[in-house]
Amino acid sequence: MNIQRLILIDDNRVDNFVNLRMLKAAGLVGEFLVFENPREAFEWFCSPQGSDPNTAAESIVLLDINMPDLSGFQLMDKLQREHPTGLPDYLILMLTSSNDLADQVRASNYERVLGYFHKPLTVQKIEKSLIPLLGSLFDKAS
Amino acid sequence: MSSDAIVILFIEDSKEDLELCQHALRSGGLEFTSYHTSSFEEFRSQIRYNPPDIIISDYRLPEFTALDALMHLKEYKIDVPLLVVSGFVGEENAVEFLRQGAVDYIPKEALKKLSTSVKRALTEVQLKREKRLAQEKLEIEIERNKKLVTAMSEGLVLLDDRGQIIFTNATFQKLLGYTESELQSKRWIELLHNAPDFVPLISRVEGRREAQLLSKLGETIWVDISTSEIRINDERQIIQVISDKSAERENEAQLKELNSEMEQLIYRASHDLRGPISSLEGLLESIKLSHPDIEIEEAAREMIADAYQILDSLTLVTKFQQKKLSVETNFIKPILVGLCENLFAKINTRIKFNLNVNDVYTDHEALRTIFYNLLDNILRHARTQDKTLSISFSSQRINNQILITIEDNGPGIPQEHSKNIFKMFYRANPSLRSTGLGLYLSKKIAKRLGGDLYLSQGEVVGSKFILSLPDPISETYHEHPAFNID
Repeated sequence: MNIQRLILIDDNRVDNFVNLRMLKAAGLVGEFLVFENPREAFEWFCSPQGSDPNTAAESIVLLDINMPDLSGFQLMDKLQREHPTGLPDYLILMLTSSNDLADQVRASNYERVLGYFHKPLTVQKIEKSLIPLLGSLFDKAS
Repeated sequence: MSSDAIVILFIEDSKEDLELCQHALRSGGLEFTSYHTSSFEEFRSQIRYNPPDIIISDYRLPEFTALDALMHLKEYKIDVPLLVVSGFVGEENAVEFLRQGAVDYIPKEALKKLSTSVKRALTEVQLKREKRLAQEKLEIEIERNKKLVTAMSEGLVLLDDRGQIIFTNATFQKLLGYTESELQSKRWIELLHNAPDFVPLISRVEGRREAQLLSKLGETIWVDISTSEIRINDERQIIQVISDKSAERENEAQLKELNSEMEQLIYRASHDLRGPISSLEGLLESIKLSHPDIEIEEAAREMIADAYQILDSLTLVTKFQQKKLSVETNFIKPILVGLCENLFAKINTRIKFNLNVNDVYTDHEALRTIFYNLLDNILRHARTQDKTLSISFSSQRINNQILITIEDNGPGIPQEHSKNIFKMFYRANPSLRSTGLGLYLSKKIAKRLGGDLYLSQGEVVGSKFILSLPDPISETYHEHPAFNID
């Protein structure tokens, strides 16, 4: 699978730790980037590295919705508004521990958001939904 | 006039004249007893200690005149008529007698007239007395009513049929801070906060209602108004009895605020706790990768499932309080069948329907949640028994309500628990895994829908829950919708 980079953004250290292990256990390989502070993630996306459209197309972002300072949605808005060269097409997946339907609806309003995961991420969930999704995306691309 | 013979006091110094008078009276058909005096001192004491019905006085006596006697009666406010019988006194004196309060003057030459005059005087006295008694009674009554109206803890307002204020009592004046005269120049409508644009004048207004009045300082005051109509001289007047509800309202408002804070707290807690629990769940998954231990994993999973269940129920508790109800027609049977198929798939169950009402007009999700909780409750308890579970559903229309009954043949609910099962976090059987919120929540939702949920007593086997919902077909439903579709 042609995943170059996996970017995890979650203010909860434990969740990042678990998600990272699950992704690795499910057999995903590549460069792993972990942000506990969404503002640091914002800085990185705006850097030349984060702005490269070629790697972006082969990068997965796991973005937690419920973060105190800047929520997942707010980070998305901020990136779309303030990214110096325009946010390239990342494959974005939202994460949430809430069962609020409103979050799900809101997530579907973002074009770049591919899906929505209830935490915790498990190997089964990754194998059942994420991998087939990526498979279909990259098959079409190749 | 009383049947007793009348008592006459003669003021006379001539025995001859006295007998002439007595004779004249008897020939006039008057029955009487009499005594006489010619001294002023004796007259005074007789009048005081032995008052007669009437006094017949000569004009001039050695010690005093009839005028002195009249003055004395006047001075001591003694209400006994005095009649003057005398020889020639001259017109001037005669007029003076009458002016000083004598009931009549009879010249000695006209003694024939005496009995008629006495009778007339006595009748007049009697009438005057009766009138005075009635007047006194009326005054006492007025005074008492005045005191009643003043002492009333309720405000009292009297309006004419055009809404003009005619009378207010002290309590009402104090409540609004106006003086009596200020209020008497006002119309009732000027005292209302949110006065209606149109007030029909002819409509009947009797009844009770709550309203907000405006005080002189512009404050609004919640009151309870009880209105009734009276007719005075064929004119319609309106009585308003007003009791101050502002303290009660304030308490209510405080309670509401506290309540809403509590709900906020529950809402926040039920959402915020999900984060750490899902993190724990993640950690569990990740331990599984390196050190699989089925037993610990299952135990931990069970705990986590419990925690989620509590959070879900707590979320529902606040959800139905705040959620807008979307009212629609719900067919009872398909909902129940769907839930039963889901819940009772793994156990032997017999289900019976006896529905007299097939559909209810209410919020679908709320109704489904109540049914789910009730059936889930049945399922949990049925699992403790080793027999075929049988459930029967019935519905009927009674007294503007639709009653839906769910009965089972499970272990039932012992008397000692029946009072508590609708309480928050109450669990009748602590060995069962449950949140203790299901029935509490269901009752709360039922009330939100304008109905109620209760346990029917006196069943030998099993439990019997009754859900009541407002009946949209009944008339009272339209007049006072229990629904709060805000």
